Amino acid sequence: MMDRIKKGLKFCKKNPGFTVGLVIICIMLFITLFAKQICPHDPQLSDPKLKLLPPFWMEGSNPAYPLGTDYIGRDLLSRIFMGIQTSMMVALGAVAGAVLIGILVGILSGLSYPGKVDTLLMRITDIQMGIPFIVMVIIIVSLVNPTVGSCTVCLMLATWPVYGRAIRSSVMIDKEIDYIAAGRTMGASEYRIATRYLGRNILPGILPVVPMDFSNVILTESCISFMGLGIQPPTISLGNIMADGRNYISTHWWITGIAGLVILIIAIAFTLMGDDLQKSMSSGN
Amino acid sequence: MFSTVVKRLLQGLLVLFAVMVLIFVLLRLIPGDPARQMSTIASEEAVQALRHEMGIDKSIPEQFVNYCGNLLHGNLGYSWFQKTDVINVIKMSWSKTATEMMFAIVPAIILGMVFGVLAAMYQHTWIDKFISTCSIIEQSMPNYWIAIMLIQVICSKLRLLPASGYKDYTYAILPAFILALPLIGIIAKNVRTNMLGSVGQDFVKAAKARGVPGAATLFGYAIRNSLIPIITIIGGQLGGLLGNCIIIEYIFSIPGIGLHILNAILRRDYYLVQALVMLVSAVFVIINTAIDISYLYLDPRIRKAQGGL
Repeated sequence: MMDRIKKGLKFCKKNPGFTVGLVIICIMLFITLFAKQICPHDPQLSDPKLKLLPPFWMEGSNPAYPLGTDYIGRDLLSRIFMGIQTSMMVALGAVAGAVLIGILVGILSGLSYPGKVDTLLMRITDIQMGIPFIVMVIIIVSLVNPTVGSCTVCLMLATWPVYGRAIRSSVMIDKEIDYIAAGRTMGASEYRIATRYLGRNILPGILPVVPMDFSNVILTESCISFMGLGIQPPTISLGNIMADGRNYISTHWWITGIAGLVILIIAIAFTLMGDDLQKSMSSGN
Repeated sequence: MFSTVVKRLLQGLLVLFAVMVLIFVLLRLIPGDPARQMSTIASEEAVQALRHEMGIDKSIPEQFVNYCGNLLHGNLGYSWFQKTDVINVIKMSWSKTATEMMFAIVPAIILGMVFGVLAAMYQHTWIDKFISTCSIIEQSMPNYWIAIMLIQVICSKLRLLPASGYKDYTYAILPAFILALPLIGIIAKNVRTNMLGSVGQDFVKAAKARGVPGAATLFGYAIRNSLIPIITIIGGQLGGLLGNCIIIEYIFSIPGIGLHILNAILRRDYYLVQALVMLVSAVFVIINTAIDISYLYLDPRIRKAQGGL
């Protein structure tokens, strides 16, 4: 155990980008877990007298509302905390689901290659990848009532083919390598080969893709919520905070500005992590 | 070689057909009646009559057979919401989206390659670090957010460019710039990685040993070798770019293909969605097929693996 922690620390030292990303994501996860507790005000409580207060660095700000208030006087900081919570939960759910489906399909497809199951599964990914991601998301989102749960499922359904493809191709390479044949001669079942042998060797390969996908899912979710197709008010998401602020943007740019900046920071953090993971993978560590 | 090309083309057609079926079925599963959508206060008889005229009172398989028949006659259908043939909508809007895309892709490739080569040449200096940092930020930017912020600064405050609508190519400059940003970042990053990777490879060392000057090895050997990954990346980004067009056209209110797709889905304008999504997928599939085929020409190693020329 100590050994692993030491290894982890060494990796962080060697990859400052990864460390910065990790710290930001840990802060975001903390906010996600304790959003309700750390909100200074009720995020839904509106006080028209205090509407459109500027953030702390501008004149006329109120110290009780460090980031100011929105168009009906709700505390922006509290709303942003809740928005981070929604975005992170949707992203966690969608990526976890997509990885699971991807692993299942990828291993099934790779092991059965060449065969009917493989052809069928790969044609499904072909078709899905033949339609632009956002079109797919918009269509799936309009099929169901947009809630936090259904948005998560939609994003999951739209992202899994990438994992399926990546895992299939590494299964196809790995299954020709001797250790699989050795496992077979020792009498390991197909199930054991899929889970114990292939699973452990292939998962590290998709590791760099996961953070990249997180940033992609967070950007897409906030985008469809911004367009009014995703998560609907009164549920708070960073996307609909931005949409609310857009009507006041020429005079009160900070509502949209700050919410977008938060998304940018989350996305940069994930990209930094993915970038360094990819680099260290390709250099063979 | 020839059979590989034919095989790829057939696969592309198959994917396109499947996309058509999928979109056809999915659209009809979306709750909401396209006839009712046209007017919420129309009488039930009027809506029923319209439904009959649209042909959506028939069963889904029957509708599908009709649609395929029309397609074979080159008829893409009728947009009931816009009261015109789908083909007219496409004729009016494709050039706007194409202009945006061209304005985005061409400068993105040039700038991305320049930045990538610069970063690789000055590896580990501040130039490299600056370019790498920018490329990460560019890839993670929410494009709609950058769009509305830039509209504020460039269009409202400085009044340099028009903010919405589409009259001539000046309306495409800002949208294209926003579409290009992530592309520049991704291309620069990959050019850098590939250049550094190929500098260490035998064919570059051999060129150096033969006495080819440094700049010539860089441009003749290293860059040429890094072209393949760049082409793959542009191909992979294209789907995303077409998708981003929807968002950018929505924000800039440009009546291009993207905005029409969005509105047509929301209005359940079946035939228009089907035609536009198929158009986009066709472009997507054609480009990806072309890229696969171009590998055969660019890289002798892949040519050999595919059974030789």
